[in-house]
Amino acid sequence: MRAAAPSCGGISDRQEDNLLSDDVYLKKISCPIMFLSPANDFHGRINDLQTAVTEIKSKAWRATCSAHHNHQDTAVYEVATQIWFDQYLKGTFVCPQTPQTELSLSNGIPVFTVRPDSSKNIRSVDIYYTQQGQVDGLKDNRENTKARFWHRATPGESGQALVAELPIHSLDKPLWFMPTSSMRWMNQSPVPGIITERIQPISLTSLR
Amino acid sequence: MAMVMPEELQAAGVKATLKPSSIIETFEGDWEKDWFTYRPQEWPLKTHKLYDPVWAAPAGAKLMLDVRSAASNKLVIGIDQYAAEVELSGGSEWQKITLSPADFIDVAGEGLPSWNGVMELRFGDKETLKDKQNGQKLDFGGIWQGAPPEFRDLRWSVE
Repeated sequence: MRAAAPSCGGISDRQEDNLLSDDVYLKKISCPIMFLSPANDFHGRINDLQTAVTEIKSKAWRATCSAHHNHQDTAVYEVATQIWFDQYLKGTFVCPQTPQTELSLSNGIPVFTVRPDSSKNIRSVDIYYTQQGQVDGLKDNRENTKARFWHRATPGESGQALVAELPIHSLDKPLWFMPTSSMRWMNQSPVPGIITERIQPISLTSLR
Repeated sequence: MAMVMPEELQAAGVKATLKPSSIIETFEGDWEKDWFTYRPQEWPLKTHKLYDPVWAAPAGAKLMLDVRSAASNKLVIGIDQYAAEVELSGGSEWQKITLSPADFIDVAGEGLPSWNGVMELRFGDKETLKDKQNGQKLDFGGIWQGAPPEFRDLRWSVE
């Protein structure tokens, strides 16, 4: 196995004493891996993804998480598979780095700072956040997982970084957040000497 | 993705500044990023906004919306396992739509009891509700005529 791009799963099936569960497999993954994990996926739940990336052996990983989607992606996100394999199987692309992020709680309103990899033409950066994440440790509430709403904050430039406030509605609910940077890039056409722009941008999501 | 627990928010002195809003959607700017579809080449869209406490329905509220469609059409508005069909007269004028829970029916023809706990709101040209238990189906809408509809001021109204 030289590279992998799993979609909508492989991270949430965690059963003690089960040799076929996801956490057992994840610890054996050593190849570059791109996770395609829709943010409302009932099967591969996004809150298990940040655990999964600490379990794999590979240091080369990225994630693309489509806000609002359940168990299905659209082209903006699916293209992550192609560029990942372009990089690791064909050597024709260098995937942008995961955005660097920082959260500050010191000013009364959570403030989120993002530093996306500017090696590609950045089309937009959105920060999605929700207070409908489940943290009670009980069995996953599937309907809530599929339906939680992700608020969106659009950051403004502040020096070399992008900064946005994340106003929240409750202090009794957790705050889950993920920045997604949408990038557009120039792609070498199969016809020598012709450069075309890929129709769809890629969206990369930070997990930390 | 990352998370902050409630205890951390409270200890840091964070304030809850986001208040409930009767304006659900203005349809301005990047509004489509708060909605979703698995068929981006088509106009129908869905959102989970009504499930969020910020846009939960006030008591006794009606769902209101302005729509403009160049051609006469049937607009299907769906909520979870319920749907309503709205006749659009077509033309250049905005058409006001007002809906109560009972305007949304399920596959058996029963009305939506209340807005409480609704999760998914859908705008579309057609859809079919299905009862997985008995196979019963109920069709709404039809083939859309002309340009996609325009939307304005999706809101809760309490009179």
